[in-house]
Amino acid sequence: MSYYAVSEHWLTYVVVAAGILFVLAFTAAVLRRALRHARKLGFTKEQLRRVVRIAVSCTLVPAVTVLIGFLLLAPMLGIPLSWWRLSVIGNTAYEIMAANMALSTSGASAASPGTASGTDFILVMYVMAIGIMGGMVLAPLLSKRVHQGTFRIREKDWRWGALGVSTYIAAVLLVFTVPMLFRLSAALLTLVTGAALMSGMKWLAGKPRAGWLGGFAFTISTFVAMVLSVLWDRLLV
Amino acid sequence: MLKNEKAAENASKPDNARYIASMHRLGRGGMIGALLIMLGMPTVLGVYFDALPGVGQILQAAIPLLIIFLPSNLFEVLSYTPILGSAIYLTLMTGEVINLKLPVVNVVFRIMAVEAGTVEADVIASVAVSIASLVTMLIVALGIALTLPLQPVLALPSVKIASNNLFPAVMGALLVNMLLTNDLGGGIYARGRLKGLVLPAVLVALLTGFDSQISAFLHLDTLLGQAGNGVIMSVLQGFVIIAILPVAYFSTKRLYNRGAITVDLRKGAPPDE
Repeated sequence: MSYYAVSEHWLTYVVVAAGILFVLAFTAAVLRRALRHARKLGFTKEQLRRVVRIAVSCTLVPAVTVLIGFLLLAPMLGIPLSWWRLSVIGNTAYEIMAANMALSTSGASAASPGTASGTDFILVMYVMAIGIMGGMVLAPLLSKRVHQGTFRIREKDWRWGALGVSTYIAAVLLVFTVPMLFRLSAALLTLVTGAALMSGMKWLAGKPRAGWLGGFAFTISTFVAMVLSVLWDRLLV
Repeated sequence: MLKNEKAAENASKPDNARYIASMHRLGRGGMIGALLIMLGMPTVLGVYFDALPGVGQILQAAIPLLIIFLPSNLFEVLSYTPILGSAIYLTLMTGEVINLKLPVVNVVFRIMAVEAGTVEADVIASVAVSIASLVTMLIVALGIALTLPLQPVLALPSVKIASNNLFPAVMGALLVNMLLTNDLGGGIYARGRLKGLVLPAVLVALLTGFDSQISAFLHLDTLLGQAGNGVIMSVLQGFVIIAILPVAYFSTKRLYNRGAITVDLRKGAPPDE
């Protein structure tokens, strides 16, 4: 069978649907337990609804870029596999790299998989799964210990516990953002724009009757910064 | 009577240790299930179509990828678990960590004034990541249904440019939370905390500025097939993060121990000890 005959076969849709349902069920189980314990900890229904509203609002813009990633992948991987890969671990760039590496072993290319076979498509599925499974193996082995270590640090000295965790977040952000400062680029200008907009939104949210803006500051500043990135890109060409 | 009242009071307190343990059990089970499904899908299709590839061919393509991504997988587990707690499993399973899940959790922590690294933060992170995952899956599903009418719009060059700049836009917004406030969440404020980030920032700047020279000196560029190019802040960025985390941690700790960084509760907030 040909590559596309397998990638768009009804059985491929069925196995992917089963996978998506598993992820949905797992997500629902996590959410249910977390909400139940949140109520026991004293969070009110209104507070939890607020968390949900903020999470939905902050997800919208990045989720659209995931959709754009799907449109890039679908011509290469077919609809069901693209849907599956963007619902689980990985991102568009990784999937393209993995598909290319897999297809190159049989002389085909991810840019034009039409000449590849059904076996090649299944090879791509295996390679995409194995190449990125490190986190899924390491998390069950390490995460509980790391998590308990965080609690122990906090029990010894709650001040240092709070500061230490925030330092982790800041260090990760540093490694991603400092390199952007080295070259005048649309990315740098977008970074600065995003920061300026976020500062402005936070200032506005502090004004009377504008507190509601706080929940949308991240979404609005990210979206507007992305729109303006098109202008920066044109200006720097 | 007093004993029964005490027992009832103790039984009604939320058992945080049991909750955390149960979430880790659920997470581990979920990861094993997801792994079985990820590998089971191609196996089912391969058997049905009698088109299973050879093990050698699979490993030939997969092992290099595993080697490239293992450091970043390790850094994700080590650096995100203190922030996300037991939500790490769902976060890793559904992906889009730095672009979506981490920013969502960061914003929710700020707005709800929750201190990272607490049971409250663990619970709120789990809710936020679950909602973010569900919304993303819904939007992608809707997008699949609307693929044909949406395609001309989403294929526009300007839309692609904007999409390529999501990451710097997100980073800019997150940096404001990091640089322009002393608020750590939960009513806790840290004054002077940026001092602890000076050394790691300088190190990252030096690695970026001299990337190609250091890569050539250590022969990393030729080893990775990128002769003449800097690889440390690109291909090996995962290693850099693993190396920078302890620098930031101990640099901040030293200044904290010396009193150059102070952490206090906002007036009126009860101490959480």
